[in-house]
Formats: sequence, structure tokens, C-alpha cells
Amino acid sequence: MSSNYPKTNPYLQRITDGERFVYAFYRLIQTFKIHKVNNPILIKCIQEFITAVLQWCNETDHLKIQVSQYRFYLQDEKLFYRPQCAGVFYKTLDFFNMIGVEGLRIYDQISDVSFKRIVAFIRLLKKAKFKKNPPEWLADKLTDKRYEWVELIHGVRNNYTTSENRKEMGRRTYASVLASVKEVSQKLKNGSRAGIRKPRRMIQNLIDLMAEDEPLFLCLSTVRIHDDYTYQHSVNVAILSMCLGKYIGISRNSLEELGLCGLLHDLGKIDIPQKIIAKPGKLTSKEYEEIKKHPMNSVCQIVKIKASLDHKIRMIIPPFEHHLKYDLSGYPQSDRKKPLSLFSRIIAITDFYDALTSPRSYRNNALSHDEVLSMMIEKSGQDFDPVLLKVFIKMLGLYPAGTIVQLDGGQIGMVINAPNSIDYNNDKPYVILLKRNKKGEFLKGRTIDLSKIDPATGYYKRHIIRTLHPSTCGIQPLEFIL
Amino acid sequence: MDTNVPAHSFSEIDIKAAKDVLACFLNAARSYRLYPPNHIITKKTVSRVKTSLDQFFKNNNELRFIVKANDFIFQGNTIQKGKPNNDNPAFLFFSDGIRWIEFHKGISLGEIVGIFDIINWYSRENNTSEGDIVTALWEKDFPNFRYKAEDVLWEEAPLVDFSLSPVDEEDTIEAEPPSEFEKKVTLFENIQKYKNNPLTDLTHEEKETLQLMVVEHEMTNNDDDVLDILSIILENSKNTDDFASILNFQKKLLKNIISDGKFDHAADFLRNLHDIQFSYRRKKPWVADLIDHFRSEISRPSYLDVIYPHWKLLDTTNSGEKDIFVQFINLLPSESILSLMPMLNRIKSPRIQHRIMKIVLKIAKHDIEPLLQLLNHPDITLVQRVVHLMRYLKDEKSEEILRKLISHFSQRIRIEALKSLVSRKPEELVKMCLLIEDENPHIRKIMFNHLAKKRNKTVEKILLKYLTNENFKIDSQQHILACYKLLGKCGSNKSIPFLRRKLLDQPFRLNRSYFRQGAATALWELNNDKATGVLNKAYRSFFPVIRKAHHRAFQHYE
Repeated sequence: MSSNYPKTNPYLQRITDGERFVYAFYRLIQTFKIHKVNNPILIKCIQEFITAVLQWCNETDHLKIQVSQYRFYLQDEKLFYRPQCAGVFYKTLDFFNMIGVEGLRIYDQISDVSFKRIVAFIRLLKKAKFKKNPPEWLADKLTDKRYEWVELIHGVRNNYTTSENRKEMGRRTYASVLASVKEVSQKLKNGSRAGIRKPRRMIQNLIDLMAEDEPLFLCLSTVRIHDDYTYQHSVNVAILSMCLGKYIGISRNSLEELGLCGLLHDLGKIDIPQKIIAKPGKLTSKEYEEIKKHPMNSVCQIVKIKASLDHKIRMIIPPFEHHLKYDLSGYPQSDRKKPLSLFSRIIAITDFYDALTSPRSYRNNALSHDEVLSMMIEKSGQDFDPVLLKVFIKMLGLYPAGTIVQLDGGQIGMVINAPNSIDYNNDKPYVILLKRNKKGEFLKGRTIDLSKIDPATGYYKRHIIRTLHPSTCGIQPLEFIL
Repeated sequence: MDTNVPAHSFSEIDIKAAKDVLACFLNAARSYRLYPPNHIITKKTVSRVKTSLDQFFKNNNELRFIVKANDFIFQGNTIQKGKPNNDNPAFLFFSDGIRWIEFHKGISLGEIVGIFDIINWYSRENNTSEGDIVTALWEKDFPNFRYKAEDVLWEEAPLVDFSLSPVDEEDTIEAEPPSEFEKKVTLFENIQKYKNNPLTDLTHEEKETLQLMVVEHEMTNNDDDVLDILSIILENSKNTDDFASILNFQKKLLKNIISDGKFDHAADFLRNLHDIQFSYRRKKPWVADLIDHFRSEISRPSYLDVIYPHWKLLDTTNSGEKDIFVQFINLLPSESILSLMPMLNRIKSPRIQHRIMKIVLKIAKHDIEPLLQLLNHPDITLVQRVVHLMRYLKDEKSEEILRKLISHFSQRIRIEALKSLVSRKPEELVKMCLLIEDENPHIRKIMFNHLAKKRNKTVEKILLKYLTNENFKIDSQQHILACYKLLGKCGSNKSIPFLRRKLLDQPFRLNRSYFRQGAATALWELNNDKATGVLNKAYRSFFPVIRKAHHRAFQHYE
């Protein structure tokens, strides 16, 4: 099938079959608006669409595409996609959401259907969005016009609850923040000037999200993306820092400033060779010296950003100081012996926490939440501001949402926040049990409340034995929480 | 995007009121473009927006306009169709992703002004690399103005699907039987210990510390810290581009610091920069060039104008503050004279003026060139001040220039130059004693006064020749008498034969009796036996004209 795809675009040659179908569908709904039926470009799009459908019709006579929880399911299996495809995926999901159709069944008869009929079907889909009840109208039309090769999957319109919308917003905002920090870094790396408009908009969105749903916001910081460690780490540091900032009463506008500092604190790593950053083993002293330059490099890069003096001034100190310790040891060393700024002390804490709870190239398994906090407590007053560290621990609590716990009996579960409550110190949280399926993927099990007491014994029914970092189990907490 | 019209039905009166609000809103936006914010017309149109909103809010609590492309829509009807340009608020809003705006009951005039400030700024500002209307509205957080923004501008950016984060198979772990991990002593226990430990509960003092930290942070201006940090980076920088961009940033920052009056930091920075330049002069010659460029940039009038409000520090009783300020000024590059001297005209206090001149003089002693450049300045008062300062510079170049300045077209400059020359090297002036015949009486007076201070054979010789030849350009009695008097003051017995002739000879010649009087005056000034002898002869002369000359000279000294 891949041979039918334009060779000029190497990216399209590498995409998965699922991605191929979504791309083909998206291109078709975009192209038919511009071109007439006999236009070669449109014809090519239709051909690609038919091919993409047929490749899924080997085992059954149809392709089934469904939308649920803002995710595509192809032939009842969740459709995974890579970050590069996400833009098209989200737009296609939006399209389905707009017409209120849960899904489609496209039968292999499509290979015998004229191009004109296919275009007419797409036109109907487009028209539906303007109708009062799009799915009903569409269903009637498909029957009237005898579109036998396609069928609507009936279901309720994708009316998300406010909470689902928020989760979706969280997901998208995280992704956009990640994209914005990547864009800034890449522009600077290429020697072009980067602005901070996008990162600012994104940070502001995050702050709004934090105000609406703090547990969800904090949960976003559990995201771990191996390929994008530096950027993901930057976003997580920004999230954790803003959360800590909010917790200690920093003003809204200063939170934006703190978020930006978190986002850009490691910007200087773009100047360090990737082979050092991603080195699996221990660094040589020369390599370590190179790594130690990144706080200064970050400042050099921030200076080059296209922004007003005021904005840049506010972004310089924390990136410079984030590896300096509370007692002023650490790096970069200089004659300057002033106490670290508040934001530097915050970022020093969140940076350390996120770095150690992330799996790295030189360390297979990330440390668990409590292991890292214990290490940090040992260094309280020496490496970290003791008061801020206390607040940080209090903020995360014993079991922050997203923590993977092992219960007595060996089951694995994931902490979620009790409905409508935030109790950071809750040591008897709600846990979703996680079970592996045949493919080794974790599936959501039932939710249990660990605070429940067995009336027969008077003791708690279940206990947490230990915690694990989600990344060590191959779990992305957001998939279960959001 | 929530572009749904709020489920509310409006009366005809309300719809008309909403249209009025939009009309006033657009009118005010237009006024903002045409007039300054404090202009009467701007103020009037903005207050009309408030009045129209108040009218609408008599029956309603909020007013939402949908923004679509270039249009404003109310209740599903387009009530304003605009063009796609920055003069159209709908276009500006829509371009930045705003999908609706909503005014709430209770909106204040201050909020409305704030909204227009933002619209106005972004309608003019083409460079939106650091923010846009949405970021600005977010920062202002107007309590009675809401909006819905979409991040449409970058929806093409590759997003990430969290579900596809790869985890290596070998990294994943399976649940272990309880017996295995029960034996493990994990750090988790440490944390649990802390649960009932005061660790996570802040003490009263800690709470206070925390509050103080936040307040301090919100209040502190970190410009000086940033300047310090950048200097550290500068010292370690090996890359020309980085060095140049940091130095350029520091230039802007230093201006802020000077403006804030943090002269101790500014002085430290300049000292440090000097050290960097010195230490890298061989290893990195480009550093010196960049720093030199930096120096000339910070010496420009547009840059150093920020010092102006701080000159009063020179008159302060706080000597510490004054000293720091003076130290800072002394560290400025010599080119800064070009900016500092013109500021004197704006300073009223003579005492401060004097102190500034002293500082400038100190700077000029390192490099006189910038001061000399100011001699071509069109402002004569400024040039006069420069010439005045030059009297304290002892180098040959300035002396030569002062001599040239004596021929300056401006009499004020000539006098100042002469005064300067007189004060710095009196003996040299002798060479210029022909200035006794200068057309400017002030110059002549200065010359006379100066030459009269001590006896000098050269001057005597020149004067003798001048008076003997009688080829006077200034043929006034007063001038000639002054010349004779000067001869008496700086001359010697060598002049006596000449003076005797002038006083006693040709007794029948009646005209030009002031020559005879001048000679008598000169003899009085010589004040020695020989001169007195000649005067006695004049006193006893048969000729009334001679006695009269003596008498007049005598009267002058009486």
C-alpha cells in the first residue's frame, strides 16, 4: 500500500495504517472543498481514501472507525499515533465531534463506487454540521440516497462533560506547551530569533487550567516522553513550579513568569552535543563540565529571544541559578554570594524532583515519588530551601494522583483523587486497579477506596505496600486519569 | 469554541442598546487611534462607551459580542462588518484567536480604558513576538470583561499523544508477590514517618517566612542581579556572538539601573567591564573592540539622559550617596562628556553646575578629545563652559587651541579663552601682547591687567615699539593712556629716555597732550629715582603744557 503514497514525502511512507486512513480521510474532506470532481488532485485523494479503507478490509468486509473519549478506535482498537500526526488527528476528531457522529462503517464495496458518489457523501458530511440534528439528518440522507457502502454508527453525540472537556483541554494544552518550548528551542538552535508569544499563551492557559482543576493540572506533570525528555522535563518543571507557586500564594502574573522560567530553564541544553545529553553511561569529567555550562547557556539563549527587556529580565535568574544549591554550592560557581531568588529555589526543587522521577538514558528505572522526596528531605537546608521543600512535600502529598502503588496482594493500582476533593496528605486514597491484558497493556479496573474499613476486623481493607513510578511500569497516568 | 449565544432573549430595546454600545466602542477605538489617550475627545468617547453599557445593563447582566473574522455579531446578526486591517478591533481580536468578548454589569471606566489601551497598543504594534491582545488581557484580568480565546494560530504545531509514550519492555515490571517486597526497606517509610512529623506542617515562623519571601519577590526589582549574572557569563563567554548579545542586553539593563539611581551597581559593573577588557586584551582582542563599542554607545546623549534627574545628588548632604554617584560618573567613558556637558544648560543650580564641571574636567584629563569636539557645538554658552574648563588642562594641545580661540568669532569665547590662557600660563601671553590693540575692550582690559602684573622686558620692548611708531589702530586717548600706564608697570629704566622725550620735548606742540600725560603716568608707575627725576623736571618746567601733563598724572594717582 505504501507504494501508492507519494514518494516525495518520506514521512508519509513511514506512517502506520491507522494514521494513513485518518490522513486520507482528512485530506479528502479538505480537498473536495477546493477542487471539482474531475480534478486530478481530488481524484488522487479519493484513490488514497479507497486504498486506505480497503487495507482494513482483509479480515472483515468493512472498516469501522469510532470516536470515544476523544480518541479514534479502528476496528474496535484504540488508534495510536505519533506526535507528528496529532494536528491532523485532532482536526479530524473535531470534524466528527462537529457532525455529532460517533463513527462510520465503510464497506469494501467502496471499491466499486464512483468517485462522484464518494464526493457526494463527503459533501453530505460537511452539510450535516449545519443541520439541527446532524446525525439524524445524515442517517436519513444516507438511506434516501442509498449509500449502501457506508453506515453511520449510531450513538449519542460526543457531548463531553465539563470534566472531560477540561481533561481534553489539559491534554491539548500540555501538548501545545511542549510544542511551543520545542519551537523556541529549535528556532534558537537554528540561529533564528524566537519569540515568547506562544509559550506565554500556553503558560497562561496552564494557569487557567490550574485554577479550574488543580489535581488534573498536577497530574499533567506525570507525563513522561522518552524521545522528548528535555522538553517534557521543562514542561513538567513549569507545571510543578506553578503549582508550588500557587500554593505559597504567588500572584497570577508572577505565576506566568515562574511558568516561563520553568519552561526555559534548560534552554541552554541545545548548545550541548546530543551525544552527551543522551549518553547512556557515566559522564566523563570533561563531559560533565560541558553539562555544567547549560545554566549559563540558557541565559545566553534567553538574551537572544525576541522579547522586551522587562520580560527577559524576569526570565534570566532562575535558569542561571537552578543548579545552585541553597547553600550556594553547585554550579555555576562565581564570586557572587547572594541568596538564590525565590523562583530559583522553587525551580531547583521541581527540577530535581522531575529529573529523578524520570527514566533516563543512563538510568533505566526512575525513582519513585517517595524515594525522591526522601532524598530531598535528607538535603533540606543544604541543597533545598527547607520551607519551600516542606510546602512541596505537603503539596504533592504522600500519594499524588498518578502514583502507581502496589497493594497487599500484589495488585498494581494508580492513585486518583477522590471525587471532588483534594487532600494532599491523604494516605488512604482512591486507587484504580490496573490489569494487564494479553498484549501486556494495562487496562483500567475497578476503583477502590482505601479508606474503607472492614467492619469484621476494624482494620482497613486494603493497604499500600510500596509505590512505583508510572514510567517503570510503562504506564502513562494521564491515559487513566484524563 | 463556545460561540453559542447565551440562552437569553433580548427585547428590541436591548438590541438597540447593544448596537449603541458597539457603535460607541468602535468610535472610541477610532478616537484612540487619532488622539492621545488623555485628549478630551478620547476621554469623551470612552465615557460614552461606559454610558451606553450602563444603559444596556439596566435590564441585563452581561453583553456578549461574537467575533468572526472582521465582524461583530450580536444575537446571530452581524451588527458591524469591518475590513481586515488593524484599525478594526474585530479583526485584531479574531487574529489573536478571540472568539467572543463579554462586558459584565459593573464594568468601570478604568477597565474600559484598560481595554482600549490594549487594543490601541496592538493595533500599532506590529511586532507581537512577545505577546498579543490575549496575553495582555490575561495579564490585566479585568473583572468585568471576559473573552474566549482559541489557540488557532498554532494548531498546526505537532501535538503529542500521551498514549504513545514508548517504554522499553525490559523497563516494565510486574507485580511482585508480597513476601518479596515486604522485606524491602524502602525510603517510602521515611516519608511515612514524616506524615506525623512536623516536617510537612509549617510552623508559625515558617509561614511568616514564606509570606515574606513572596512579598519580597513581588516587590523586588532584580535588574542589578541580572546585570551581575550577565557579567559572570560575560567573563566566561568564549563566543563573539554571545558576548555581543549579552553586552547589548547589559547596555539596556544598565540604563534601567542608572534610571533607578542604583549607581553603586552601575559603578561596579563598569569597573568589572574594565577588568574584563584588561584581562582579555591579549587572549581575545575582539573583546576590547566590543567593549569599546559598548562604551561609545552608552556615552550617547539619548542614553545618558537618564542621569539628568540624578544630578541633584551632587548637592545632597548625604556624602555617601554623593560619593557613589561621583564615582560612577568618573567611570564613564570620556565620550560621555559629549552628553554630560550639554546637560548643564538644563541645570539651574550654579553649585551643581560647578560640580558637574569638576567631574567632567576629571574625565577630560584622561582624554581631552571629546571636550575639544564640543568647541564646534552651536551653543555658545556650552562652548564657553568648555573653554572655561580648558584653563585647568595643562597640556600643550589645549593651550594651542585656546590661543586659536582668541580669534573665535564669538567675543564671549575669545574672552573666555584669554582668561583661560591668562590663568594657565601667564608668560606665554606676552607673545600675544599685541592683543592690547584688540577691537574688543574686554580683551584689551584683560591683557592690560594681566601684563601689568609684573615687569617684562619683552612686553616693554613691544610696547616701546608700539608707542614709538604711533601706528595705532585704536587711536583713542583712553587706549593710549592705558598703553603708557602698562609700559610704566611692566617696563624698566630702558623706557625712560623714550618717556622723557615724550614728556619734555616739543613743548610747543599742543595737540595730542595725552601722549605727554601718558608718559608722565608711565614714569609714575616706574617709580624709581630716574623716573622721579624726569617727573621733577616736568613739574618745574617753564611750559604749562608739560606741567599740566605732570599735574594730570599726579591727580590720577592722588
